[in-house]
Amino acid sequence: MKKLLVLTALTVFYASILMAVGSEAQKQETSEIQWLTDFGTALKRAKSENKPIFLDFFNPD
Amino acid sequence: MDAVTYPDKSVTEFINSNMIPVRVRSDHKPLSEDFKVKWTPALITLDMDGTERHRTVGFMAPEELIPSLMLGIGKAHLERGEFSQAIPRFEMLVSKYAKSGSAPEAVFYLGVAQYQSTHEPKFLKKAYDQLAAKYPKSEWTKRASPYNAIK
Repeated sequence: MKKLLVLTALTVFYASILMAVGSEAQKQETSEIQWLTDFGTALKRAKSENKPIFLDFFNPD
Repeated sequence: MDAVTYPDKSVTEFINSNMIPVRVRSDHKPLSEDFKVKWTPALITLDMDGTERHRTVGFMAPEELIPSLMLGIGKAHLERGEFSQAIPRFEMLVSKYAKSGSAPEAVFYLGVAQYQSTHEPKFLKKAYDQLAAKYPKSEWTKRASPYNAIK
């Protein structure tokens, strides 16, 4: 019975760590600029969300 | 931009919250021709209809990019007659980023937006006074100089 309790506690402990790591990874993912690459899609979103477009022309080389 | 400015948290948050960001190669067809891109980075603010309202060329540090984008957003709303959305953008830029390169132009357009929304010429005079006091050597002070005659 004691072993079962310890096992359950450890499982909960590791699960909470995994959830925290996942949450942090998600935060990092959304902490990047959410670039679009399709201008048509951007235009539709700009109209529907009433937000201006930020268009960046970059040199890939 | 990728090494310094775009990873900056304040830049990321500002862009994701206030704009629809699009990134394309400088040789993208037809966009690079449509927007007559000659050098990079070309950073363009378009209004909600896709009309260009503001452009900068070359690297911008975070403390310059955010006010530049604020200016573009303000100009996009101003051109559409959306004064209640344009004026707070210009005001925030002028108060929070007074030392940025975009600040003098924001003072100018703040005066224009306030004048257009109220038809009170005093706002143009106020813009000139502020420009002359804070940015005496700015091109925007010269452009606003006729407003100095307003009583």
